[in-house]
Amino acid sequence: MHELLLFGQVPVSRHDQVLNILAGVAAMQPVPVLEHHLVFKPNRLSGPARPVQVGGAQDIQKSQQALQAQAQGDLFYMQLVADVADTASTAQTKEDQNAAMNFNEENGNNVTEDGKTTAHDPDAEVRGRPANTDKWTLQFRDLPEVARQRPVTSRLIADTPIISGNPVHFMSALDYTHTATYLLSGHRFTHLSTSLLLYRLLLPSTPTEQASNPSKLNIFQVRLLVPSSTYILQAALRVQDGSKVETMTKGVNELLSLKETLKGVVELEMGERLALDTRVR
Amino acid sequence: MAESLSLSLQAFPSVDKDKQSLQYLISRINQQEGPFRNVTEENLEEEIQVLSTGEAEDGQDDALETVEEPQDLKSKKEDISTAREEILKQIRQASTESSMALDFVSLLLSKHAPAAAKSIMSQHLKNNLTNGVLGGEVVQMPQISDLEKRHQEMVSIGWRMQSLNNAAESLLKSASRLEGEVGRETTYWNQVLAVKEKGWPLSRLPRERHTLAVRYGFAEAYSDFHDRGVAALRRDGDGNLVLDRGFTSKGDRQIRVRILQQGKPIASTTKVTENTSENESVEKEILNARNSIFDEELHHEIHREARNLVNQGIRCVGTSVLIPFENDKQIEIDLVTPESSASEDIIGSSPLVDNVATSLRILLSYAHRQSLQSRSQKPPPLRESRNSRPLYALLKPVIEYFQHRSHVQSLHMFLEQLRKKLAVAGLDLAIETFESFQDLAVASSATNKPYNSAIETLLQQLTSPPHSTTTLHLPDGATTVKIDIHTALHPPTLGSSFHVINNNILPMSPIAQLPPSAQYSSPAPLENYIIHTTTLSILQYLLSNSSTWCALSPHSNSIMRNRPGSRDREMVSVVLEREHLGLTWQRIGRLNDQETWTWDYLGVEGGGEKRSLMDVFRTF
Repeated sequence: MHELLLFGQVPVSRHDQVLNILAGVAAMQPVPVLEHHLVFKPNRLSGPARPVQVGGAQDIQKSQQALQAQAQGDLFYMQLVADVADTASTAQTKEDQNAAMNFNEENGNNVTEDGKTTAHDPDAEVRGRPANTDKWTLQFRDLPEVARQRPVTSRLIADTPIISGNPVHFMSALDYTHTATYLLSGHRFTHLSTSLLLYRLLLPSTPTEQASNPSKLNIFQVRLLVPSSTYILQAALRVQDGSKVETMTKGVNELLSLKETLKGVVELEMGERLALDTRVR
Repeated sequence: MAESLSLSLQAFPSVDKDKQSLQYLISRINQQEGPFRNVTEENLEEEIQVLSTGEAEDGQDDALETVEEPQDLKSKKEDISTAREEILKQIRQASTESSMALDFVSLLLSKHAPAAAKSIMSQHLKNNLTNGVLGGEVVQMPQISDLEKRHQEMVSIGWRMQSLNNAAESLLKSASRLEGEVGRETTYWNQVLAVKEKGWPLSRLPRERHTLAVRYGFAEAYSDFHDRGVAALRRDGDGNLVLDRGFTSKGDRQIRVRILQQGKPIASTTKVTENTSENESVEKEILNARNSIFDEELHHEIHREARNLVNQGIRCVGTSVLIPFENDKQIEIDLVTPESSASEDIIGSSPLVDNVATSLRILLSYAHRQSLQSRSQKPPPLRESRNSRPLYALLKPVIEYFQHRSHVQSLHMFLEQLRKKLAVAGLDLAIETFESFQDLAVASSATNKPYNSAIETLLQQLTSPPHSTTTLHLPDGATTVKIDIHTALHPPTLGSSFHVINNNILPMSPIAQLPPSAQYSSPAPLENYIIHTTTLSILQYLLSNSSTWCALSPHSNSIMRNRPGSRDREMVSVVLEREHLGLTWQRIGRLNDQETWTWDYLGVEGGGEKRSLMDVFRTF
């Protein structure tokens, strides 16, 4: 599957206005989104590359060569993503908020460690959730293609929903190490085939706690990744088959017409290719 | 002579660029100060002195200017060069004009003083024109008397006054016209505001950017109807708001549901009586337009769905959709103008047709809601093939309900008859029923899903295939039969299905030997099954009270015994039919030796037996 992307920035002062405009453009109410991301890094195959043996069966040699090529090729980060919005961010009524507070107190946590952030942050109205009910997805994102004619970022993607089992154990069995955790919080819209995501990233304020059990996260103790709390607007359009030129052109045209529509509201631009690099250095 | 003198009333002049040009300035200086040849150094200095004594502040300005000078030295240089070019241009023009004037004068002179003229004539003129072609003479001005002069002046003053009066009149006229316009605009905008305050969304008309429009269509409607859900708000001559629904609109339409019996309507949807008075407000008109477009879309969708439901006996004839109903009747759904449906008031109404119309509308609203929900989901990846628009389930729940209801009703009638027959014979048959619609109140109150309102849960329940359960407690007291009726218009059943489970706590009885469950697709075999099971149950009941009798097989309606103290064999058969219950006793091998008792469900009046079945049986 391919993904076509455009990005834009929204300062926090314009967030509500842009949210309104997007609701008008998409003709729907914003859907709150809260995603829990775990970043995993692959471990390189240990041991020095063995010299090619002389003699022996050719088949063995061939397979070893393939293995070595693989070992020396690029390795990519992978992410485990859980959508927690269904259970968490729908706390809209006061009772629910109170329930959320109680939940926290029961767990013996401070409601906020960084009180300021939470006070400003409307997304902090989320409540606690049982960790084992989350639906995890294993996400792979390729390095974006070199932009030649296409005025949008395009990259290969693969999303694998995990139906059962412990995803973190699965990743460690694949020889991947958990390296980072972050939360994506914002709102989602759907306009034709485009998914518009207005979000910002949050980091857990106590990173050391995460090491032992990364899939558990206290979503109350978070801080903003970017202190200026700028929002990012991401317009993403997925294409089933990236090799079909017509479908890709259709997708690109849809994104460009959206860009034209949002001109003067949010300037949507291509993403910086190397900033979206997912290879392991 | 012209009838009136028109005075042009000019607007206040704006600063003209031409008036700052050098050419204009020179001519102005010429007019104000006289020709340039009078300008001398002395009188210029004098003038400057007069100016400087008059305005002492000028010195400061100069100082400021000198400060600024170095900054725009370059631009000043450019200014000077352009001014120089301008001066040169003017000089060239002056020289041309003066030589032309000279030529003219010399040509004029050439008639009277050819020698003198020739000396000043240009070469070009000399070559191209012969001398003396132009000449001049002195003429006397006509003498005008003072009286005539005064007359003329009076006439001109009169003209001027008349035209001033005209101008004043036209100004007054335009003022009153403007006043009227303002009044009309005010009424227009007040009405627009009233529309807005009612909550109608106002926007610009997509194709006419300068026209205000009101949007009354439904956001989730199919694109044809979605695009038509906008009407321009225009202003008529009196400033009143007029709703312009465009050329495509054919006036208001309404869904009409009728019941036809042999092609003749016997019931029709009741008209919402509207007082169509002259000053019908725009809001009402908008409301009508909205209702109309909703009904038009509903009709369109019903037609689309009806074409796929031909297997249910639905037919589309012209613009109407015909649904079979209660054996000999049909429900007709069509789209009519409110006037034509109003003329049919004589037919009479029935709550059924109104309910059908209402439920169809609710179902379309629900379909709109669902389409918004599915549209708000994460979009699927782009593919080559385009997904076709799904059919809405509008008729399906209605037909399912009717079909289900008729099956359940006929089953209940059958069971009730059976119960009465058995009661006459002193046998008990208990009937318990459960309908899927019964617990709606419970379902609607218990909703804690955040995105599903109570109404949606309710509608989900209503549109899901109906099912009802009937439990029979058969006369032997140990057997229960559970009958499930499901009606769903999708494969594999495409209609009602009847599922029977019998539950017997006596393992040795003939009923226990029947298969524990069975499935039927029509009511007739179900009725046969119930009759058979009840017959077996009656036999079981008889057996339980007498040890000498024994059952034959689960497929027989008779029991048998060897008569005590004799070698004869006796057989008792129970016959359960639609009208009556019969008990036949016979001695096997002897044709004439038999006796029959019947119990009619009408009781003793029907000529049946007075004693109970058990009492008769005990006499054997």
